Parts: sequence; C-alpha cells; structure tokens
Amino acid sequence: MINERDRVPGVLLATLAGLAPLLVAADDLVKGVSLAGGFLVAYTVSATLALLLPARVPPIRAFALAALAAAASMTLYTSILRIVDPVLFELLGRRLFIVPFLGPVISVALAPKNEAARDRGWERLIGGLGFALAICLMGFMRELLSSGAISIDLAGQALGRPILPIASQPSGALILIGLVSAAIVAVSRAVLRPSP
Amino acid sequence: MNSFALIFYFVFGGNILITWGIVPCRDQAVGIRRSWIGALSIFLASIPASLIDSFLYRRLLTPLGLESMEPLVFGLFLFGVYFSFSAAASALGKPLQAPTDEGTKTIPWSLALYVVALSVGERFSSPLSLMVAGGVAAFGFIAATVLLDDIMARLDLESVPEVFRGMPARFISAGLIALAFSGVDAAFFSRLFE
Repeated sequence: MINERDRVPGVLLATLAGLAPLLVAADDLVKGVSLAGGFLVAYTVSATLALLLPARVPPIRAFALAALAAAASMTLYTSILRIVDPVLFELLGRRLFIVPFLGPVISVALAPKNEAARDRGWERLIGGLGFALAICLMGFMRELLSSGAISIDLAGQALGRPILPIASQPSGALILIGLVSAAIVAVSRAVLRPSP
Repeated sequence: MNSFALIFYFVFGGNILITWGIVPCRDQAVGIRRSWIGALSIFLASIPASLIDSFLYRRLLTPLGLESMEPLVFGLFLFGVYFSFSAAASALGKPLQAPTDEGTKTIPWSLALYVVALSVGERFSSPLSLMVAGGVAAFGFIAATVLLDDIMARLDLESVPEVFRGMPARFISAGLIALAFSGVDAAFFSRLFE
C-alpha cells in the first residue's frame, strides 16, 4: 500500500516526467518564458473547460472537447508568438505544438470524478502556475549554468564565464531534472516524516 | 543522406527520447512487462503518421500560412481516429475503454507518435524518406526505452541512495545515454551533414 510519504513525491515526479519535453527545450530564459506561457495557456484552458462542462456531458466527449480547446488555444498562442517574434517561433514552434498533448495537460482535460473533486478544481489551476514557474526556473538555471549570465532577449550575447556548458544540452537537462527529482523526494520525505 | 546514415542518425544522434525529452515514466523497473504489441503498433503507426503529418503541414497548412494550426489539426485527426475506432468497436460489441487518470500521467503513445512525425518532418520531404525515417525514428525511441528499462532493472540490484531510486535514477540514466548519443552525433553525424 502506498502511503502519503511516497504518494506526494510520486505524483510530482510523474508530472515532472510529463513536463520533461518542455524542460529539455527550455535551454535559456527567453525560451523558458515562452514555453511556460504556452503551457500555462493550454493547461488553464483545458482545466477550466473540464471543470465548467456540465456533468451530464459524457466523460469521453468532455475530454475530447477540453483537449481540442487546449490545442486551439495553442494555435492562437503560437500565432501571436509568430507575429511578435518570428525567430522565436521558428526555434520553438514545433516544441510548442506538442504542449496540448503532454501528460499534465491531458490529465487535467479529464472531467473531475465527483463533486468534491470539482470543488477542488482551483487547486489544478494553481498547480498549472507552479508548473509554468518550474519551466521558467529551468530555463533560468540552464542558461546561468551554461553561459554564466542571463540575457533577456535572443539577440543578447552572454558575457559571463561558462560554468557547466553541458547544461544547455538535452543530456544536461535530463541530469538536472534527475537531481531536482532527488531533491523533491528528499524534501518530501523530510517534511512528511511521521512524528515519533 | 543515404539510408544507413538515416537509420543510424535516428537511432543514435537524433533519437527522439533524448533530443525531445520524451522519457516514459515507470515507478518500478523490476518485473516490467514489455508490451511488444504496443511497440509494434507505434512502429507501424509512425510510418503513415509521418507521411500524413508532413502532407498536412507542407501541402495544406504552409501554403495557406496556417502552420500554427498544426496542433489543432493533429487533435482533430487523433480524436477522429479514436471515435471512428470506438464506433467500429461498439458495433462489434467490444467498446474501447475511455482514458483514465492513471493512463494520462505517463507519456501517452500518441505523443510519442506525434513527436516522431514532427522530428521527421523537420528533415525530410520525399514520401519514401518520410516513411523510412518515421519507422526508424520510432524504432530508435523503442530501443532507447528498452535500454533505459534494462538499466533501471540493473540499478535495482545496486546500492543506489534511497532518494535516487526510481524516477531520479531514470532521468539521470536517460541523461547519460543522451550524453553518449550526443557524442556519437558530434563525432559522426554533424560532420556528415556539414
């Protein structure tokens, strides 16, 4: 039987695995912010629609509607990104296309199982903010580690001294995610340790 | 690019598990049951999927300047296929199961299929290249998944620190495989395409 001490980090790590494609793509702060924005839009639309659809709608239709709404919102987001920054669209376009089909977005497209779960729906929305923040932080950390500085636009040249250049590579991102996961497990176990 | 270079590229250098971060999530590696039918399905499905995705993107959306609609078109196609199969299965008296919460937490196979189609479509345009590259990219994904599962099964026999067991070790192992693959990519494929 899985206890609370193992369940909490388990859910977080499964979510982290679902977010991995975006965490790997976010190799600097600008890309991290753009990907986080796309994720937040798709996640929020999907979660909100799943919560607002009446319970009489068959679950599979509600799921399809929420998932398609997330895909439509991503279409809108990438269109706006293309107008604002065509270079960023070329760099990230195809990575953004997969956002509506990532595990965390798909899982919130499922209608809540009962009224109690529907009442706690706001927790899903807050969770989306946390995940978006995690993507931004990953972009920030990877850029800082790989170039030793942070640039706020793609044209900016990092003037810092590289600390760990591998952090900008997919391999560096996966190792970093592994270390963060271990930290999550360690902190969760310390916080949820049963009192003597 | 000749056929052999293409095959080696998608198995090693451009492996989608590594370059796209599509890491299948399993809590325990011990006692894993490999779904060869699932692996064969994704391999076979990726061949037409690459062709269809490229056709939709290059022939339909790009000439109209509607590239941004790709996720919506893929979603409509995906659910269109699902509801068609569902209707056919219901007619045969064996209705399909609806997706479950647990099922969506892991990497959905449809996502892997989509990423295969996207990564192939970025590099190739001829129908034959697309189909071959689609199948090879799917094979590379399946091979890397099996390799990762075997590493995890072996790690369960080692004295890995408790906090690194499970997903953290899986990510770090995937990162080390990626490191090896990127070395192959840098030493061989990058020069090949220069």
